[in-house]
Amino acid sequence: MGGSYPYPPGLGQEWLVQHLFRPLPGPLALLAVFGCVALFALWVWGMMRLSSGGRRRVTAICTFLAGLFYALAFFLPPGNVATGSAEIGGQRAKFTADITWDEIPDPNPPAPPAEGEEPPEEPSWREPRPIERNLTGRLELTELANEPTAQDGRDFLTISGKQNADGTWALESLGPDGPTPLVATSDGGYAVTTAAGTGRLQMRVQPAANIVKGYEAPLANALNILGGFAIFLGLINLSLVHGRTLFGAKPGWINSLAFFFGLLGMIIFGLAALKYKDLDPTAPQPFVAAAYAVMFDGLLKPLQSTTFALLGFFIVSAAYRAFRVRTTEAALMTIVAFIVMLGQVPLGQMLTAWIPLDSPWAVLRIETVTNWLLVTPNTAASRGILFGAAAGSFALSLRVWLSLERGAYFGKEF
Amino acid sequence: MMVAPATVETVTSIVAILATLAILSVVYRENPVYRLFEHIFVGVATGYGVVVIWSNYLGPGFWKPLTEGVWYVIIPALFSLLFYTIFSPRYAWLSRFLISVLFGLGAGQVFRGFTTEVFPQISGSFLPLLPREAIGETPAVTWWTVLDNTAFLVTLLSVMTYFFFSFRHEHKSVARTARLGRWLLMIAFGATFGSTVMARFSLLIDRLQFLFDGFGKLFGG
Amino acid sequence: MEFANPFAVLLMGVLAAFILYNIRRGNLGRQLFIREVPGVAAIDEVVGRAVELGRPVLFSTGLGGIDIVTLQAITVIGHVTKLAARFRTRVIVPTVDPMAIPLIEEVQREAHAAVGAEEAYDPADVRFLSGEQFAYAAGVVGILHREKAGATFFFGNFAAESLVLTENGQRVGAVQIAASPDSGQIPFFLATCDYVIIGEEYYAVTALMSGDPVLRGSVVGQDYIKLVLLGLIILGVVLTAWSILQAQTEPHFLSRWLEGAGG
Repeated sequence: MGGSYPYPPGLGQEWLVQHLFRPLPGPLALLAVFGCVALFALWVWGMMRLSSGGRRRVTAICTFLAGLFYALAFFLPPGNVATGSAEIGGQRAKFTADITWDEIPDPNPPAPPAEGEEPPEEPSWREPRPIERNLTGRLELTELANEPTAQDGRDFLTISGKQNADGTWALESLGPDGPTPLVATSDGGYAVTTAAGTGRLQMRVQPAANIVKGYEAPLANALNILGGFAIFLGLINLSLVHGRTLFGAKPGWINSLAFFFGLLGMIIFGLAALKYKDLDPTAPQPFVAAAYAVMFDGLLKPLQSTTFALLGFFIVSAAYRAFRVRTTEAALMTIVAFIVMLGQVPLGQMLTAWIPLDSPWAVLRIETVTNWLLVTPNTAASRGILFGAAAGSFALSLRVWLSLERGAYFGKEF
Repeated sequence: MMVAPATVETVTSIVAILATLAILSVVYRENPVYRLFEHIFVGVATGYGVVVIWSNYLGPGFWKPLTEGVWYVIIPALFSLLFYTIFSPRYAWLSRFLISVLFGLGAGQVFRGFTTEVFPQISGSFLPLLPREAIGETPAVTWWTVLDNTAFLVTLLSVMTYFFFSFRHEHKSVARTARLGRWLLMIAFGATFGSTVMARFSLLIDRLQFLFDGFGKLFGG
Repeated sequence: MEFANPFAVLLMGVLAAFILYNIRRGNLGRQLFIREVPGVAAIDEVVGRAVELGRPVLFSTGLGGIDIVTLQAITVIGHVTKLAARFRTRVIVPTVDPMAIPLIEEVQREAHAAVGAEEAYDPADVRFLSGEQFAYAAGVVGILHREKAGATFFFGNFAAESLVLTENGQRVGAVQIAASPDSGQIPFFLATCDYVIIGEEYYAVTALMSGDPVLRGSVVGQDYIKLVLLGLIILGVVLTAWSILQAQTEPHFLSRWLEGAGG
């Protein structure tokens, strides 16, 4: 059972996972948590001792490094490709290969669950296994190598292998006669034998230069935790606004009470009902599950879909407003909107149904015009807007990354 | 305490009908019933958000590992404390530090974002402006297609011209192209508007249908 | 592929260099021209209307979290709050992201301090209305009606709820400005708002508002980026025509570079 990694492991990642970031037994884990708290407090103390200029510099540097992480994850080549060529029987052949990172399989895998038995719950941490770099590629021996009818051993040859600890490769070819090891030659190539004769393979492997990509997944997990705890900011804000109304007995306190009823009801019943996920809907239900069902199916869902459905009314009044504006631009928009709306309903389509489908005028049928408006000008204009907006967001991101941004939040005293 | 499924269903239906009517009532005017349900809505939606954050992120990603000895999940939790420094003027700058770093993370992703979003759309704009016969699996390009492609490119290029900021629109050619761009934008917006109308109506019809069905079930037996 | 090819590395480098070059030009004191955007010129006037009416301003940042789009909106919040706080007019900011609360509070607090209106600052003017799209919309509708907003700003990324927000803004008689970098909701904003800032204009707002040379330079840099994109499109179309003349069916090199660029 080996997990497949699409990306190279990050710099020192394997060492860190094997030596530092691993679970500890109860009391030691508690000690480690306290250690983290102490280090964090020390860090905060240090940060607070910085001068105003120092704070600005530290923030700018950390912001830059944070952005640099994702920039490098994108720009550094992953080393997922090997290319080369071979000379076989006087003919030159092309070689391309994909490289994958795979876990070295567990020598003692856990026994699969017996028939009818629940599979064991996935633990939140499992012993990581060292990762090895594997290669699968093919040698194109004939022009037909990419045709669907191509035959292994005649038109192409599959080569696979893994990297040795010293960086060299142990390769074998998978011809029709089974796997045959390739012999490394003194000039750094490999000797190949095929039905067409013998030859030599020269291979160039991209170095695994991307030393940060492997940290993307752990970073995303950390950011989920960080963002998850921010929800209390929202709860504090809401409690401040509604608590003030409720406990000050200001007008509208009943609404604030309703707010707390919805909030606390959903949190309490929602969390309590988590353990009743797979209930039989036809059997009597525990109270918390029933209360959660009422809050979710009776309140949240209909409130969402009805607010969405309000658009059925508002789109009419918006259309009327657009219609009243007497400028060329507004008129253009309203007319096109009207045509497209007609083109989508049977009544509108009947207007031009008299134009025969096979006549040259069929392009004037309203559904054809509607379709064209939606496909050509609409796509083109959206694309034009997107290019501009992408340029704008590129510039703003660059300013934020390099701490060049001016404005309300950035570029102020610390 | 166990509750019969029929009871759950009836209570849910009554509550859902009340909620639906309360929200629809805002079309006439804002009123106390709407206000009550609006507050309940924000309450349940926030509460549901808390449940989702717990069951998707903090439960399996923080609490469960922590209780199993995975001590280092405490690190992001500690950093999240920096958000709360806004409540103390002395420490407030630390929230600014954290948010700056978060923006930095976002900014670094712009290179990948720009490449994945924009590049395929550029190569997608390399449309043939000359007709040709079909060759193998490559389809033919008819004069109609050429005309369509021309309209596409004229729209795209004039809309892009409209968004130039540093060219004075006094240059006649620029001003005219930008003006054309603005008109073509309006045509495109009209198309979006028109294509949405029917979808919005069907949402409303769905809700009205729900009300009729609900009343039928409750009172029709 | 999740990784850049050499073409993407080169192009990203060139685009970034254009932005930085123009920021530098702005910093060195070059007077860089950028055209007016009508909606931006109207911002001050719209706030003035709310002040005259003695009604608060509502500023919605849409459905975005703390990202670049919201950041731009937050800079505008600072500007609007400063204008309004001078006349003790409130700016109410409903948000969907709890992480945005510290930013908005900080910006509003500073805006009040800048015009000597510290006592008028109220952290309860930032309102978290759940992270759910339509609960947020229902909440904003409630605030619009109860507070009788005199002016509304819709700056950011919006989805279907946009029309619920702006139609109710119309009903309470607010003067409305909407701005979105995304084309999706612009038609509905055009139908219901007094001023609409479209697409890339969104990213020029702060430069026009403040006249800051760095921001102006950056906007000029954006034009360079668009020129490059325009050039690539024209080159690609010419190459496509050339390959038709040559009876080629394979995509030309520019197509291959762009499509294999990452993503």
